[in-house]
Amino acid sequence: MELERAQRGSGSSRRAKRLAQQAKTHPMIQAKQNQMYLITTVTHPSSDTSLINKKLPKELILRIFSYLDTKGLCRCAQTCHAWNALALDGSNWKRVDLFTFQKDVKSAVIENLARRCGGFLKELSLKGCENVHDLAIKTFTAKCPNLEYLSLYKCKRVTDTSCENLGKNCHKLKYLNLENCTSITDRSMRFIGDGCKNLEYLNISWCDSIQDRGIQYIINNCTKLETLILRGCDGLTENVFDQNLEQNAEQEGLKLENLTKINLLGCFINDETINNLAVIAKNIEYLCISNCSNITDNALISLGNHSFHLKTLEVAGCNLLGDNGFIPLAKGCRYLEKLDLEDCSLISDASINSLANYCGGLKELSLSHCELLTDESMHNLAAKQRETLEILEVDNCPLLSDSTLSHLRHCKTLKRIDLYDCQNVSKDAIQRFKLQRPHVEIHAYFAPATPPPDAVVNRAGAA
Amino acid sequence: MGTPSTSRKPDAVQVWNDLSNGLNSAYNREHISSQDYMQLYSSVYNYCTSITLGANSTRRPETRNVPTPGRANQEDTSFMGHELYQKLKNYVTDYVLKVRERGVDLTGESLLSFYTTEWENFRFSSRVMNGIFAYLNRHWIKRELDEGHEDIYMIYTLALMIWKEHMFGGMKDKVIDAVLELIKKERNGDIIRTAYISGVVECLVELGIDEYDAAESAGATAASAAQNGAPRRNADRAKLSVYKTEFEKRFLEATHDFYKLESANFLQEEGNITEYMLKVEKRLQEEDNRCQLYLNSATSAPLAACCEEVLIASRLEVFQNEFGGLLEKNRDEDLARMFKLCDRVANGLDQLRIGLEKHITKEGHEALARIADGNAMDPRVYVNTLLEVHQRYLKLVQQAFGNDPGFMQALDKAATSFMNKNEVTKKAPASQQNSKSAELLARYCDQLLKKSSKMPDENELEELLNKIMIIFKYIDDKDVFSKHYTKFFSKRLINEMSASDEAEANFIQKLKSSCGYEYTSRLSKMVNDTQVSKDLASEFKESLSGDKKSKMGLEFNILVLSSGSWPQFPTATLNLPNRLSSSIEYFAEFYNAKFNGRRLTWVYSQSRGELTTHCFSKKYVFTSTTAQMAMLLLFNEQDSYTVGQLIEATALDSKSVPQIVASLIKNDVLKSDKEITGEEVSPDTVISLNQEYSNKKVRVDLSKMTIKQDTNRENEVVQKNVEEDRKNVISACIVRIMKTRKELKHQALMTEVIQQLSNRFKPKIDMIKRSIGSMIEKEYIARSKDQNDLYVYIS
Amino acid sequence: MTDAAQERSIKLLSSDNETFQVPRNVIRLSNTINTLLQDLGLDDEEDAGDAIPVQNVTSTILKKVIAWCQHHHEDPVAADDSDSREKRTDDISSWDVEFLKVDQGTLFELILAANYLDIKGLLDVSCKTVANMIKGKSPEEIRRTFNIKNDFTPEEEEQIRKENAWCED
Repeated sequence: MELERAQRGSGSSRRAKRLAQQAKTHPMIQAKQNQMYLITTVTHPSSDTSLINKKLPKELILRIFSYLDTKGLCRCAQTCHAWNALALDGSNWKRVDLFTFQKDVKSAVIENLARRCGGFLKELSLKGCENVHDLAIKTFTAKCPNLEYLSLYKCKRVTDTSCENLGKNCHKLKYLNLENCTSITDRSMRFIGDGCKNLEYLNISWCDSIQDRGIQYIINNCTKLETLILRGCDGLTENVFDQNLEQNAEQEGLKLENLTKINLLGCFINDETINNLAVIAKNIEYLCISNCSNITDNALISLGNHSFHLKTLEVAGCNLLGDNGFIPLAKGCRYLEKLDLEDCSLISDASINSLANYCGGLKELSLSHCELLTDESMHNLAAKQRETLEILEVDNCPLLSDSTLSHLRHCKTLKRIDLYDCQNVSKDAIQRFKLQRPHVEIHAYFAPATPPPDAVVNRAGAA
Repeated sequence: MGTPSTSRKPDAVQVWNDLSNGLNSAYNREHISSQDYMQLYSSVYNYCTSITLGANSTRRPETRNVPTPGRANQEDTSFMGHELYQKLKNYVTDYVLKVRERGVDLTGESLLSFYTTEWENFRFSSRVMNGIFAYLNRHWIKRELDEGHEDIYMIYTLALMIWKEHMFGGMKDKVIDAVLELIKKERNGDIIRTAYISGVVECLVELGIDEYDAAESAGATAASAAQNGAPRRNADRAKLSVYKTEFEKRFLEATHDFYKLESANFLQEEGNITEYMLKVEKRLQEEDNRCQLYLNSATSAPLAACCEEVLIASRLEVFQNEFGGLLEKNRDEDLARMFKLCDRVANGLDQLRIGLEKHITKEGHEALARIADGNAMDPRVYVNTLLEVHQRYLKLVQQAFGNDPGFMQALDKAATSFMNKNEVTKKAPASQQNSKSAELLARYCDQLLKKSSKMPDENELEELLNKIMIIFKYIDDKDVFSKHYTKFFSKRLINEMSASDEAEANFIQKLKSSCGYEYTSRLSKMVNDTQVSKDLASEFKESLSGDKKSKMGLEFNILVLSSGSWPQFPTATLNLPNRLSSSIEYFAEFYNAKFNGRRLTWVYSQSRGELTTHCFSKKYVFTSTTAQMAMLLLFNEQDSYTVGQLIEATALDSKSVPQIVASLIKNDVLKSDKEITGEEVSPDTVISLNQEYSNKKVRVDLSKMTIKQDTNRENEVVQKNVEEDRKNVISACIVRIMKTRKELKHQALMTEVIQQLSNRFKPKIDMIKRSIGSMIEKEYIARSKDQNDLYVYIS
Repeated sequence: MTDAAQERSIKLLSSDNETFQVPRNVIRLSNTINTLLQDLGLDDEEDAGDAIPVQNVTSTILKKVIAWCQHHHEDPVAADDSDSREKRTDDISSWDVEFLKVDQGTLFELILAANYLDIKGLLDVSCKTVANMIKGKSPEEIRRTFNIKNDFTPEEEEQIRKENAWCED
């Protein structure tokens, strides 16, 4: 049968062929920088409709455009009227990420974009665009009411006004990242709570003007909330989850049934807070309270009593915690997988044994600076968590010795072990381990041998 | 494209005519050939793609792109399709309305028949229509949805929406009524056509899907953008919204009413709890089957909950009242059934657990009251009674109550109650009442582990020891048990009365597993001492050179005890006759040569010896205590002594000598010139050997008499030791707790102390208070200046 | 589909009246044909029945389309990722690259055929190919590639360039 027969349009088949040839050999001609094109292409009057425009209906050209990035679209917009309309059609602008352009993004650009995208825009990332301010957001929210995902990370100029506009217009919002938008206050929380009832993810880390009231408002109104990131929210107190405050008298009490992930790193909270949280948010799977130094064992006991679905717990730097907290925690939270216990130096083997015995699938365990731990609990850990343990950080646990390593050899899923400053673990043991389990990363260093007393002591580093 | 459609603009009217003819065929379930199908499909396709760039198109009334000044002739990017969509909508609406007309007067089963048939047809035809208009779905409709227009639907969804609004909306009450009627009939025993119900159910489920679809297409993107992908839950819920609101709600109400009536009637008429429970079980099973068979599986949970609520939860009182009776009559099967049923409802078992606890406590106390009059202080009877009650109810909990932890706890609480304080313990003197149980248990252990004529074999013994451990768990004053056990154990070791070393070690191991290493450390040390002594003894014998051996002239066995581990023994001075003292000296030499810096103290009170007599008509072998031996050996020199002389000679104190004398007199070995009453013997009484001594046996044990100490006094001693020890333990515990906590309120400290010591004994409140006081005195802790009930640790 | 059905072949009729026999499991890649067979109950029948007219596609193009389907008929069914995060264009298999080394006219015909017959894989890969022809080119280069006439006035052109300058490095 005949091979490819070029379709004949009205003339210029040879030209089309040549262009096609060109396209084949140089599929991606790198554009030179920003040159102005004042050349008006002169073409045959009779052959001025290109093949592509003649043959393909709009929807297919749009489909082709859907594979272009922002730059490509903008260039197509400059080719002719028809392509201008198509390139700037909202359906190509469902997801806009201006991160790579952040320095250049001015409000005028944002406004143009907003107009283009219209109801098509679903996801917008203005991460790092420090020049963006309220007016631009206002334009966006007014033109793009179907917005579902918005990141304003580090957009320092954004204020409560933007959140007001979001609440007014963007009722479908599901994901909102306001990390480092330090001008935000509780008023924003009110606006969001009133208008964005479908919110599932909220990140207001480092927004230190937010207070308890604001958080409570969000919790009461955004009932679908699943993730709440509040790192470094200094304005919060330990009563933030308290059910009995007057403001909540009308409601039955805070309900956080959908909340699975919450991060309170560095907030001024105490055991009461955690107790309140555990009672109202029964489905928590991830909790970070690292650097909340007022936390004591009672918080862990609360978690053991209520938070049965807990999988990840980070309490690094909470140095008041000890066995009396971790043992009940282990008994209650059987599904724990990842634990960061760095600097919880009071814990002893009893805690680790409890965790090893009760928790079915520990994966990552950070025990840095837990100085009381001995080989005994490590053996137990290695035996009981043989099928799941992946990462173990036991640096600065000076009582551990080579026998820990030899027991860890049998952990099939192990990926990494940290052993910095474990002075009783010898290089030989590590070498032997590496021979048996070459795919496991071991991090350790050995200071050079202690020089004789009269020599100057130089502490060097790497192994 | 091959066909002429590029050059001409399609005539919308013509296109629609062709299409509506095709639709008619579809909805009349006429046969459509593949040619016809493709023809229709292509019509739609050509119509939609008929505008390429450069041609003018019919616009939708509102345009989205606002022309900016300076930009001329903005191209419109709208797609073709709005008109077609509209026409389609009208067509389907007409069709549905016509169907409704035909069914407007039907009710009951005929309505269901009509509805389900029409629905099937409609579904099928709409599917075909969806295929024909697929191009519209793929482009124009999708774009509308992307832009957020929520009043536009995919074709099939549109059909469902229209059905829902015009057909279902008008008829739903009658349809659901008819369905509920059928179900009620089935519950009353009739056979029904379940296909009608399942048809309606499927229709409802599908009508729910359309709402979900619309929301989903618009919001799909951001769902994946969220950090945790969990909006699926919302999706599932949305799918069944129609089913739930229109049907499930009413269904559950009807179910509720039906069973409320049924259970009320039943209980009124028959009232037999066993029958009722059987009926409830049957009904629950029935409903579950019903759900699996022709309802949607999402209903099974709320349905079960509804039935349980009506049949069980609201009748809980009845269950609770009958529970006690069933326990009394040991109706295990019924109890099991009641458990399973009450387990289904929240808090259903709470009262039952309390009831069980009360019952077991009562049974336990009664059982013990029955034996309290008889030989109550017989340890074996006591322990067996405890075990019997416990085992019976343990079996009940395991079998009938499925090992439910709450019931186990009830058993534990009841056991703790009647095992520690009961009719038997009340008979003991007041100071010992709390620990009588512990003592009896220890005595029983002693009985089992001692050599005796009726020794249980290895397996039996293991079983018995395990049973003892069960009871041990419930004993409050475990430290008292420990003291008694240690006492008995040391006697067994010293007097070599253990039946089996293995059994002893085994039991110590069990105690260790239960209470920890500290609890049994003394016992282990005691065992160790015996081993070591055996080795020492043989070493010593070997080391004796020939003449020393003959000088000793007797068999000599030694047991060296480390003073910390063994119980306190009274030590007394004793003048040993030469024959005995030389052995002592030789050994002391040997030992001191071997070990430097250790002091040996001789415990004569525990030592025994054997004497062979040549002074009586027969040769006898007496087993006697060393003190007795020393005294008897004196009679080798003289025939009689005064008591005073005996005192002098033996260097024993004036209390012990009369005791020993009295015991020997009771044994008939000695006689006195005066009447001896009790243990009062005046120093000038003359004691002499009874030359007429005779006994049937050759071997006579004289030591038994003296060793019969007053058990009561013994127990008192133990009790006092226990009290002392407890004070120390409490103090140590307080200091330990305060060291970790740094500061603690009074109530919290009390609670922690009690909790930490719960494994050993139950400390009394005022004992703890006194210990706190003494710790404050000793400046381990102090009261806080600001808060009165706060203690602070002094480091 | 039963195994027997899998071995059935379907008859397709191009616009210029040429018949093609296609195995059932190959033509399943075309949703349009699939839906037709299912909705009309033709899947349950033993024989292939009459030919299905594919009136918008010529025999040349139809042949190529069938060849593509033949090569790809074992591919796993891709999830509907029309709104997925990343729109990659560098993941075209080398076979497809070769297959699509044709003149623009044919390429567009293929796109149209894939659109008509609703063959997602072919539509995606051919659109990506065209997108690759656009990527990295300046507007003028794009015009030249596709023979597009520049119908902007100089003022319009300048204004549009300014508006879109922000995304150029």
